[in-house]
Amino acid sequence: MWDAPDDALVAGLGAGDADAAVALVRRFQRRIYGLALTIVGDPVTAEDVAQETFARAWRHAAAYDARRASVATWLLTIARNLSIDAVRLRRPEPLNPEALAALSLADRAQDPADQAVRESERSRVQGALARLPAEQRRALVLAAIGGRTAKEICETEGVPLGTAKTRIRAAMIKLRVDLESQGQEETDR
Amino acid sequence: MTPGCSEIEELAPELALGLLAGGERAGALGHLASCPACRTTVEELVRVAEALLLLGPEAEPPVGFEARVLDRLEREGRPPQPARPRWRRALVPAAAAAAVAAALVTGLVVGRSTERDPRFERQYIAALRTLGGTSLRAARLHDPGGRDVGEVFVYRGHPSWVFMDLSDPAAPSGGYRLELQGRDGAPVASDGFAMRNGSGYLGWPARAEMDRVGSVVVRDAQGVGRYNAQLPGLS
Repeated sequence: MWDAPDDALVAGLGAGDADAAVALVRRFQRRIYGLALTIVGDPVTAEDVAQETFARAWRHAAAYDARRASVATWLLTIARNLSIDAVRLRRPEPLNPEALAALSLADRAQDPADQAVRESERSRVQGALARLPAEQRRALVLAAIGGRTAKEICETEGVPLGTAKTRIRAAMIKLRVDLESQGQEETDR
Repeated sequence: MTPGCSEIEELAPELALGLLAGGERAGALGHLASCPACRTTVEELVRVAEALLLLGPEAEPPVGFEARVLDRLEREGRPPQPARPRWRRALVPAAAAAAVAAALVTGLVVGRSTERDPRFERQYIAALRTLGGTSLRAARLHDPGGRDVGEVFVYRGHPSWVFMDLSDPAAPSGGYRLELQGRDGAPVASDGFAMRNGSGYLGWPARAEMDRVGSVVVRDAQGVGRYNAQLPGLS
């Protein structure tokens, strides 16, 4: 069970298998809690969000579609959406944008349980992000990982709303093109 | 008003990042439903947004987190099996469409005749029979000052469900609860939803005896009733 692929764990979860639930929680809890804590900035709310993320995964495991998203992105998307909902109500103080923007390029602690494929995907995204102009990278990280709206970004960055939106949009389009071209190169090899 | 392609181009990044709320989100999704080109654009950006989540930082949860999660899953019981989510997905749009038709003939029960427009009644009854339900009621939601802020549909079937759409620019964002009340005003069941930028909605397969429900109250995070709707009686 502990070595089972991610999607096999979700299948087990959908069937009500308690062992699969334990394995899934152990495998993803640091990432789910870490993302929630980054967005909500408060350990108590972050735990609520992380618990609810696993509860929703439990309830909706049968609807998980492996063709649509990896298990990691499925769970992280649930956690991000719940965090954004929670943050509107409860964030005690704004996260430090400097610290948040630096997260994307920081060295990551190596988890021995990480799969090689996951690391490879992460490093591809990290590389593409590093190639963006600094102000676009910063706006995108604040929005995508920090859960900030364009309006919030324009206020914290001291730029017009249109500029914040343009930075996010330009960064996402460049990232998409970069990731697609990397994917194409891998296919051609 | 449904936005056009140029507006969607502007909204697409925030929509893909899950940051768009309320009316803007509803309008954008409405446009995407009929515009394959914009849908493709947003889907591509969603993949970028998902890839970025992989860069989120890790953190050690508090001691006992794993046990608390597993306790909670155990309390929730066995998850719904595949047949139920498929059914639920199919039901909600069909039931919402039926609800719109039913808004003109609220308070009907299948099998009873009335003197109202028989065409609508036939459509309404056919919709209920298709869904396997027995009643569908609609009512307007009002604030304490009597201002119209949205609508709520209450459907009795297997399972029963509630659909609510609420729009009040003055409402603070955050967690709210929709409470079903019996005719005596006692709570019957409730479920939570989020208000963002003055808008919120709830689609909820509720385990409650819907025919007992006489009114609906929306409460804010402090439990204060902010909006209510009186459902028509069943004729």
